[in-house]
Amino acid sequence: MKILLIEDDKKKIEDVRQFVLSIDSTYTVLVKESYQSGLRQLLTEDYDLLLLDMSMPTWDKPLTGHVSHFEKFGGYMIMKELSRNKKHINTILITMFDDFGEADSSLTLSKLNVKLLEEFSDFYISYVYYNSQESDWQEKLLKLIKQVLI
Amino acid sequence: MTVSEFSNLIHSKKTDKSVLFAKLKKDCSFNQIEKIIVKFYNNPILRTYLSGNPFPRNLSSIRDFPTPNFVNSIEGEIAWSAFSVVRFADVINDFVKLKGEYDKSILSSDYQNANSIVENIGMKYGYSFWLIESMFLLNEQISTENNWTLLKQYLSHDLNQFASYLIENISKRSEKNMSSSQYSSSFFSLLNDSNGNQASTIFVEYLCFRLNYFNYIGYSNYAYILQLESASPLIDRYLLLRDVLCHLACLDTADHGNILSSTLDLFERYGLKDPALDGIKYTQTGVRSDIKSESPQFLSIIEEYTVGDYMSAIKSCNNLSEAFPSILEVYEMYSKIVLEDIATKDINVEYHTDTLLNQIRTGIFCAMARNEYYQQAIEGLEKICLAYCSTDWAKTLYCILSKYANYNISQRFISKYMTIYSSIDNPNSISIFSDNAELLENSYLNEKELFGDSVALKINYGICIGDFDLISSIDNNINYRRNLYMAKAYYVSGHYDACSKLLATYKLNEVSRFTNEEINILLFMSFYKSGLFCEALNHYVNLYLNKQLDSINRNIDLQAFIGDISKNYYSNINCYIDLTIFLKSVNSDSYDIYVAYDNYLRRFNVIKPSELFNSTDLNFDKKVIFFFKEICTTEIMRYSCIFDTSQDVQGERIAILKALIGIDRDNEGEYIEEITKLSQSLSVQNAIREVNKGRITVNVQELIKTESHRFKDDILRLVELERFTKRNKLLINEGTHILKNFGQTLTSKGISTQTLDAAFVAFKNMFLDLRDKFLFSKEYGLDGYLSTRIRHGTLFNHIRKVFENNNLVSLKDASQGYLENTYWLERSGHLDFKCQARLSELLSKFSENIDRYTEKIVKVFMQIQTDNRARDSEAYFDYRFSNTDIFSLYVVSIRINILEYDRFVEFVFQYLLLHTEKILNRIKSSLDMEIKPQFLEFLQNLSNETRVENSRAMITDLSTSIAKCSTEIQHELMTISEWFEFSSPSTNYYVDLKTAIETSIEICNGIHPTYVLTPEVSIDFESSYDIKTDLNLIYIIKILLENIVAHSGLLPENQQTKIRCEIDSLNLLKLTISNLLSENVDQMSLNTKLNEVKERWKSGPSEVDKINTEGGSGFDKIRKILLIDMQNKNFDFDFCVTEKHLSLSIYFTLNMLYNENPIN
Repeated sequence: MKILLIEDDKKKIEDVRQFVLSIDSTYTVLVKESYQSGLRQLLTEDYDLLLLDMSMPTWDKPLTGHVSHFEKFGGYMIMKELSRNKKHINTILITMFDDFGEADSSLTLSKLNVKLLEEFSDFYISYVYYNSQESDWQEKLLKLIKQVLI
Repeated sequence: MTVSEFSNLIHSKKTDKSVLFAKLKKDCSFNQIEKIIVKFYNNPILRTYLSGNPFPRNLSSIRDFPTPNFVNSIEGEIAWSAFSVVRFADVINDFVKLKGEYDKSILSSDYQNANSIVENIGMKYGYSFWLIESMFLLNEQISTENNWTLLKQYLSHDLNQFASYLIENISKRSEKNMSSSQYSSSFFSLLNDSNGNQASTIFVEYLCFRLNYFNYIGYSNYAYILQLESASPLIDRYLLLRDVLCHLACLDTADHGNILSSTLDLFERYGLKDPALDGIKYTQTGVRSDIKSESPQFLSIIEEYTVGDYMSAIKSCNNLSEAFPSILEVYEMYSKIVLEDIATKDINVEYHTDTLLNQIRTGIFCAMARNEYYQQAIEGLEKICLAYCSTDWAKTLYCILSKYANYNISQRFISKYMTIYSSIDNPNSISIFSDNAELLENSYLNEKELFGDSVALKINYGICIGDFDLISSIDNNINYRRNLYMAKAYYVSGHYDACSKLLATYKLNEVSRFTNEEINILLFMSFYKSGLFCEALNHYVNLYLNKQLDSINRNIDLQAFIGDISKNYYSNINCYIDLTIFLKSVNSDSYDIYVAYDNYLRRFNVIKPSELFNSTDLNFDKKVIFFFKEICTTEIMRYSCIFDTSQDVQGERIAILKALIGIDRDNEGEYIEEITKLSQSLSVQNAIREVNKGRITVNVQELIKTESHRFKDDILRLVELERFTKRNKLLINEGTHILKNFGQTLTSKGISTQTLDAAFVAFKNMFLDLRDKFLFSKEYGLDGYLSTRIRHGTLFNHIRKVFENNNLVSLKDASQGYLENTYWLERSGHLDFKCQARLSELLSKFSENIDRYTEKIVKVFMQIQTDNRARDSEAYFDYRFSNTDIFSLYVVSIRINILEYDRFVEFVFQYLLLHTEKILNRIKSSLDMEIKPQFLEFLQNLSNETRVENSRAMITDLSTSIAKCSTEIQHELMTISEWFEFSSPSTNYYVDLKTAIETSIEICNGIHPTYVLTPEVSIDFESSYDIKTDLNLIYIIKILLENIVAHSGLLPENQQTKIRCEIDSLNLLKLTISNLLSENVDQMSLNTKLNEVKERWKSGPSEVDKINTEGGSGFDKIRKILLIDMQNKNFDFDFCVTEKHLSLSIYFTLNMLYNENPIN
């Protein structure tokens, strides 16, 4: 299975990659660390599964750490682009956040999940809440990957 | 609750009467409440609760009696309020009459009469907040100092804190120099602090209703508003009840119809009379019993206008306004006619503020004409509405204002509101019933009886029911507006095609602005309703590009339109360029604009916008230029995955701008500026990356830009207040205390413990407002950067990974217990079972300690704490300031005379930056002195505890790992410590000399692609003379380059330009641009021309005006830039023409440009 992981947190990348390969070492996992490089990869190559973070830098190598180069809902934008370009790749959201947005426009992970299921029902599977201190994300991810395989 | 149940309860000593009356409000209908109150009105307890202290004779007893608890029943609260006032119908009738006279007197600036009326009301009915407000307004007419003196006098009474808060606010909003936005800003700034829970939210709504009525949208907690007011004097209770009834009557819902009807019926039975109540009744029934006395005269103006007899209409307006100056609708009608009439439409009126009436009269005209006084007039009228909000005419004025100031309020609401408070009756009012056929019919029949055979009434009725035949059949000459009326009727009846066809018969440049607007709105809506989305978009975009959208957006439901066109990523739209411009104009999400942008590019089969410049299919009209200029920005293009880096996007943007310089010469300056900014931005970003690796940022430059102007008026007020308080000790409450503890302050006395110097309170509020912007501004504030760059995952993972790499921490399971550390347990085979169990326990405990402490760093230490954000007191970013701290700052600001708005804002931000730097130093110190030792202690404890007898390690490798980890965590914390440096995003527009020169060359090359210059650039002075310059020098170099190329007479390939910068003996910067010279150039003539330039340059600064009107010569432009834009007094021009060579030199003062703090 060909998997693309779009994620910028090094530890999370390693954790997810190792876990995915522990399920089946024949899987190939390509990592992209930004909205731009991830999207380009998705639009030019075919993948069986997309493991997607929600917040990410706009470019792989931002010139500075300026906040404007960071897409808070980059994962959502990627899904929108996939939908618009009719590129329906099974997608699992893997996030460290359980709440998105700020103050008034706050969106919980479960509400976001409902929104994504409604909007991208053709290819969005579900989400995994990743916490480097806990292991239950692995169980959920495994379950979802099995769901994709079926 | 039945009458007998109530009887038992009220006569029982055990009953808590406050609870009983609350239950009455909660459980009973209006009619039940009436029955009970009528029956038990003589009961002294009920009467005390119901009437309270209606006529307080001294100020300290204002709002000083118990009220039944709040029960959240609108019907119960209205009934309670209505019965509390209706027994005093005679008093209210008298008050309403006197108030009507007062309203007119104050509008006509007859302050003597107004004063005697207020005194009369005060003598008869004691204190009320209405009376206090009137007294402030009258004192303010003399001076703001008189207002403040009166405030001081009021506050010297033993008031409860809430009453004193209300009084302070009423005084403040009466101040002449306190603009509506200024008042509102400080008002909401305090309210936001107390907005943390449901209770305070409804309290906020009450305060807005009471003190800042027009600056709040979305009132809904009427029951609470009424309950809170029930402690006030009779006059205030009545006025607020009337306002609530009016508000309910204006809502687009029939939910409150029964309550309104019961209340109005009650008032009628008790003989309570008020024209506003008649207005409310009309909105509910469509029927008026009579019309106000001046209405027929106003109707005749409407008739004259409707049939196009503008001259008579203007004359009638003048007559009516002279006889009845308080009918504000006449001023609106007059302005409309003048602006509508071809003969008078070019008349301009200046905005006058000499008298209140003149301010309103001219303000309405300027607002409607949208002339150069528009903004000033709107602000002035808003201020009048705020200060005089209790008068009926101010309410009417607000309705008029809302039509021309683009407020986001339902037009139907405003029409109803105006109908209620207007001093005349108007047949146009029937349009408020256009959504209710029965009321519309009732109203039409009734109005016909009252107004007779009115053309205006017939037309309005025809439009409301969509009867175009009725309008068509009207015999009168209704001029060129007939088609518009017909079109409206077509639209209402769903004949959209007929509507748009009829409107197309108008020549829009020949009709007035008002007619034009009406036509445009109808056209857009007809296209939209017919499903002709592209026609609608095209129409909208044309209006937008021609700046004709002003009032249109208010009248169309843009959100519904956007919803309809955005389905399936705008797949039903193929007019992409219109779509992009439309989305931009309505501030759509940038991704949506990107989708439209991308669709447009795909149509041309290109992936980058700059490729479109090669397209032969493209006509560079207004829309295309807008597309390149406003849509193809870095903000939009960043969504496109064809760019690898931000530099690529910026490069594309620069390529677009360069091309635009050649196409859109009118905006050349704008493009040059943006190119410079982009270039500068790149160099600034590079500098940040190279020099500063900090993660802490507050964009102070942008904050100063956005905040400075906002405080301009506040600072002026502060200066005045400071002068006043120096002479007169004026102590006031701190709003925050009142708002946070509103439950107690409603009744608690004793203001002395909470009062502070009034000027200091004003200063403090501004300071705290700026502090909150500094910390929590979404775009530029500290918290956003802290959240994104430090708190969210980053810091936690940086620390944990060190322990994980050394296998010292394990993961949690679902029950939050730690999993066994299998790595070490697998290596502990030599240990006995007890030891293994002990090891497992120690490692789990260690994991827990590390995670818990790391979480504490992120969730507790790396947080911001202010007075309003109750966070852990251990938060490092501590921005709580005591009154002593702020007072010191206040004293300093007074001493160094910082009280100018731009200096003040900068001063405060500088103070906060310094404060932040101290915090960052403390954090670095804490990382080294507190956090590092804590981690080392955890490791040391683990090391100690995993040893057995004779200090032997349980597992040798474990000991090694602990030691290794101890070293690594220290390194990691040092790295993290580097994050806590300030990296201030530079947003000024200064560039170094080299960048300025290179930008100029790039621009020249962009404009003259056939003359690509590659000049040799030399800067001949030491690095200590590193110069920063603004954009002006770029213009100068560009002009010089263009001149030297033009004068050279050479082909492109023979150009040999050079640019040289030197410091001359007089310490002036000498900028020389040279080139080769063609043999064909007439050297004599060139010499003469340049000599003339040299002579003109010597004429000195007295020639400024002439320079401004010139413009042909590039050298004169340079001279103007030096003299005016760069404020340079010492400059010169020279040249040298030889056989094969030409050089042009300018000299100018270095002082303006010398960079004291060179960055590079």
